[in-house]
Amino acid sequence: MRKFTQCLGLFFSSLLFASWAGAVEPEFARLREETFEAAWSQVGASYYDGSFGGLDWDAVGERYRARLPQAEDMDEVRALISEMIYELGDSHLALVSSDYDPEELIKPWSGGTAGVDACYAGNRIVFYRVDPAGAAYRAGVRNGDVLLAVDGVKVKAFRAMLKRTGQPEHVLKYSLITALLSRLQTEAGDRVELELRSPGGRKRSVVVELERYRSRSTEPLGRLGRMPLALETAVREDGVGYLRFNLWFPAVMPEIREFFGELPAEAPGLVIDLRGNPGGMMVMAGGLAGLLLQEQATLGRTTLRSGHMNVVGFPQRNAFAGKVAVLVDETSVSTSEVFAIGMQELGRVRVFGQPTPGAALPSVFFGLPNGDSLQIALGDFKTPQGVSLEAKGVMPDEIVSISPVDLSQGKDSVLSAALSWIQSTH
Amino acid sequence: MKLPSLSKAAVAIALLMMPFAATVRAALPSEVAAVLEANIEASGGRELISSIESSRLKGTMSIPAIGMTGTTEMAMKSPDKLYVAQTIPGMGTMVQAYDGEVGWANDPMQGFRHLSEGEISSLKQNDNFSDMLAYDEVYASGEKLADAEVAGQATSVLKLVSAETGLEQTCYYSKDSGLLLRMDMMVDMGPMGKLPASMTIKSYQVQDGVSFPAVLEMTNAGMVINMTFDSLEINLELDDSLFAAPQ
Repeated sequence: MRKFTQCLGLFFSSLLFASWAGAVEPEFARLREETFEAAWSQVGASYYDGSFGGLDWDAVGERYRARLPQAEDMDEVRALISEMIYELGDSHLALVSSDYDPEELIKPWSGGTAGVDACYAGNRIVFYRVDPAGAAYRAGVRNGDVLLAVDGVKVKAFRAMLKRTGQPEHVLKYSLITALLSRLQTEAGDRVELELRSPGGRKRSVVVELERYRSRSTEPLGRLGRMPLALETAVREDGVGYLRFNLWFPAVMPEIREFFGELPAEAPGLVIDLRGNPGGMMVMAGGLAGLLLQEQATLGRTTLRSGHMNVVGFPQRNAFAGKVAVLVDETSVSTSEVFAIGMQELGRVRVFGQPTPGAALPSVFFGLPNGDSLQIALGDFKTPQGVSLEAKGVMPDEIVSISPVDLSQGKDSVLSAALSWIQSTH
Repeated sequence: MKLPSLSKAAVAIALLMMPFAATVRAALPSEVAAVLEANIEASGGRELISSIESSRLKGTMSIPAIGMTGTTEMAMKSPDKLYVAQTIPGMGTMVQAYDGEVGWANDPMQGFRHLSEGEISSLKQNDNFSDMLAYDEVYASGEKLADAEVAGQATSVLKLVSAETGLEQTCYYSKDSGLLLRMDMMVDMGPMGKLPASMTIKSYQVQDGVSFPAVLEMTNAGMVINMTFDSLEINLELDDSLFAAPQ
């Protein structure tokens, strides 16, 4: 309904635009100036680094303001503004065109599920954690299948669309997998056509009819609404604890605390699997750290224009003192990265998997007069030793490659490497 | 719980400084004291406010930018017990309290922890009544700045420095009513950092002769939080267990 209203609005807007075509020039010039000034002043007022990385922001404004009259349409105005803000060299500064509808690329969860997860094997997107009782499995999707297209749209085309939104390069891999998986989480009954290539090289198409998600979901948290919640805790046969959760949300903490209470102190180790975890509440990184620390410790600091916020682990009862392996990949983002890099620097965990994107800056969106949005980073996260996470990410202590063949045979090479380390050093 | 070495050093320095600070602290300038006295009078008067042994303020809160709502509760019991709780659906209840000896916090995300000296001082700022009366002890220094307008009202502006933390706050008192209309400050979150915050009191209510904020807007690191208080209970029975750290 909202989309219909938007379309109707656009339709009437275009009618008005057509009838006033002769008077557009002064109107455009006004909007061009207002949009530019709003972008320049909002960055000036809100960007976390008051020194603007050594730039004279007033002088930068003057330089680009002088070029503004040459911008003949709104795309050229956008290009000018983008060029200006990218002088700051920060990826969390972005101009998002009003032509971009995020729901076209990343669909909101509407209660459906296919029962699959996906990860990268090199640059290929591969299905794993395929639920044998799920809709995707019934349709013929198997662990290790490489995803080539969704509903006739090639994966490469999705990537190109995401790139056009102005997203920084280092988060594109994460955004791409999020956009593609979101198509497998719309409404129950929706049919999604997938083009796949099996590890043996055979191409095929399957149609997955989504089913209703019946497992746990989060309590609505403000506008975030309900989201599917996955939490897996286990003590394996070899005595190693295993913890995986898909969101840093308060709802998982009571069970995580309970799990730590039940994990034997003499357990040879613990695996915390953060692959595919896109983050959540940053304060929770300190909460989980507190269950692994014997002394209070800081995982990192987000410095704002004025003031700062630390992520701190406060030692808790039942804190586990044994070996801890953390698993990460290209889709471990934000709070997952803060936790992994902070605990890695403290020497408390060993990290396995693939480098993470490095996207942990708090940012906000401001509206511009032309309807575009301007994303501005409010803070910069660094570890206690001053290592910046942004665009660099977490470098695993052991980089472990993933192969579709391994996945198809039920082998999780990253988990195996972590378990091997725990057992060999125990 | 073991404090990190830096915090230990900070506490040690603070302890060393305290006797010295106490001996050199002069009374606040008379023009500052006059504004603070007018605020006491506008809030119900020194006699009435000093008779408050306990209080509980309840209300609701919302963060419009992310569509989040919740409830808030603040309780105090003389001489220095404090309890502040916020409950947000989907997040749980976050508590900070001080039983007169131990400051503590408990929330679903971080679990239980002890509060730092700075956090206890920040928490004590919620006890408006005793702070209001003992301004000569609460503030190490004060200065009257140029008058300013807040929401169209002329205000007297004071820069006040906390005797306990050394942090500054700028307070705007209505020239008309004498009531506090706005406060800008740096909030000490102890080991979790320091953040700028601003509070604008949009309206007051009166309960048993005491004026208390009814609607206020807080800006915390750019995030706007609206709070509405709908009940103030004065001199009620509050069990000490409310303020005590969970076992």
